[in-house]
Amino acid sequence: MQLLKIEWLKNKNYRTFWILTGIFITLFLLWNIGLSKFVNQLNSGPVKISSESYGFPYVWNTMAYVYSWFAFFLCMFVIISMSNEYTFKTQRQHIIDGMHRLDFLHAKAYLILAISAAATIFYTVACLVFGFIMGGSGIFEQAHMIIYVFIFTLNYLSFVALLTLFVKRAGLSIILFLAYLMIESGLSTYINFKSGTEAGGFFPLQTSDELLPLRSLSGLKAIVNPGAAGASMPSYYFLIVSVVFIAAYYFIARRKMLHSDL
Amino acid sequence: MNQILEISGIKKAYGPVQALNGISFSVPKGSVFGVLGPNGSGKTTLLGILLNVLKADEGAFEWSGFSSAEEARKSIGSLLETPNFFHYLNAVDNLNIVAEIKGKGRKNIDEALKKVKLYERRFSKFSTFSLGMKQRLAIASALIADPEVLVLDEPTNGLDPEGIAEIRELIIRLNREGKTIIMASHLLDEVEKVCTDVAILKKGTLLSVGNVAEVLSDEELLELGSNNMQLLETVLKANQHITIKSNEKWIVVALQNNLTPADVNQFCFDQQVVLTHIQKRKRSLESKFIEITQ
Repeated sequence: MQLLKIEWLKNKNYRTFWILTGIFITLFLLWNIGLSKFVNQLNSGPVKISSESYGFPYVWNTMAYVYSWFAFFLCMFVIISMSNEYTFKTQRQHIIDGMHRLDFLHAKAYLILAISAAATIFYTVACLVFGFIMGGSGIFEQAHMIIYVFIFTLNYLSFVALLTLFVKRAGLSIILFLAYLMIESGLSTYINFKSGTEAGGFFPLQTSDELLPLRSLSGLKAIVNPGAAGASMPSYYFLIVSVVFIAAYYFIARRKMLHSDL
Repeated sequence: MNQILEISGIKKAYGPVQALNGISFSVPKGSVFGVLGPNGSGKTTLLGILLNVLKADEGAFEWSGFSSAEEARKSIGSLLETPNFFHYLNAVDNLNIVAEIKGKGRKNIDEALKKVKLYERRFSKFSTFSLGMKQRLAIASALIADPEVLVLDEPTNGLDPEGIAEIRELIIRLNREGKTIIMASHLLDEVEKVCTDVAILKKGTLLSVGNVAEVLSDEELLELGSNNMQLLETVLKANQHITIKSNEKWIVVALQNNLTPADVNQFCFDQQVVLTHIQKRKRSLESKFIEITQ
């Protein structure tokens, strides 16, 4: 808790922190409001193709998918928070001031856990609000998405934190992160296509992406190719692999913190 | 005497460059211990290892009286190379973070800021500070834990003459309060003015360590002049307690046997030589330093 308090002291008066948080919240809400209005409009026509998107229980899936895009702003914040420590050499100073090397890592880990938890709570509340407005039944039928959203966030934020731990600069980290996302997504699609399996879904970040798919898209897949959809891997595979990756990031970061010059 | 720090056989290489080559010495409690050496001699590397931001390849060190290295560092006030603070936070916010890490509470922050004369600017962002102010904030940060030991790397770097004098006074005052101060410097003059003990490093090797007076013992020299320099030289040569060091514009002599300038004046006068110029001169510390490090 003391470590988390230190992180709070660093960020409570940090404008960038509040701006990125604001952007994340605003864009997420605006996008969902716009999308749900659009869905409503479609519903007023003769074909009710998307009637389920924002009603219970499907709201959990729809908003999780939208969430997976805007989580980028949370990643930006973690990159900046991490690289600041190197730009300002404060991480070095913290050790000099008596912080254990691992405590520095743990402070960041707690920060990531706290952001992931807060974002997940925000997602949950938003889903409930949208769901109640749009109606539907079976409120908590898809509520396991809450756990998926949490693990998704934890995986992404831990990944970028580890990346920045090695790269040390915000700009370069963001560029590498984006480049990696593109490469990974391309490779993943290629492997899936070539092998006819979902093996490509087990890349470090893709494995969490698989947790928050666009449901209507998988529905579409099922229509186009009913066999493939039936053979799709259960989500908990991806959940387990995500957790394994998160643990791996931690142990790599731990090794780096304990053994390198600062 | 009680030792607060024992260093034994510390080695550190950066690739092919041997930055420290088996350094061993101990720091007496209550001393102002200077680590003196030209730029690139390994001073900062040594302090970095002592503060656990760098890993030694070999060797060990121990802060006595602390249960762990972390506990020791929490009770050490330190300033390494440059002041490291969050640029977007003000002085108080930055010191709050340090206080939280050290687990010492915030009660000393105002006092520390007053000591370094930053109290008026305490709510200004760090990024708006001048180099001297940043350095002073770093010293304030070193003071908020009310440390037993201060480790200061080039503490007067970037300060104006007034600031330098203030920091020196502060160091001497803190030492009188019983604090041990370990200070790296490439300025001999600084070490001579404030330190009780000194270790001299050159290219990662320990050249000399001990009491300042012993290591940097400076004989007192006297410049003498007269209307008849030749006669003066002859007269001076006749006195066995006077050694002529050089004879250029003035005759420079070293005095032995507790001879005072007054004795020399009297002696010359008795020998019919009237001195027109008599001035004390300390043997240039720079020349002594160069002599040691070459």
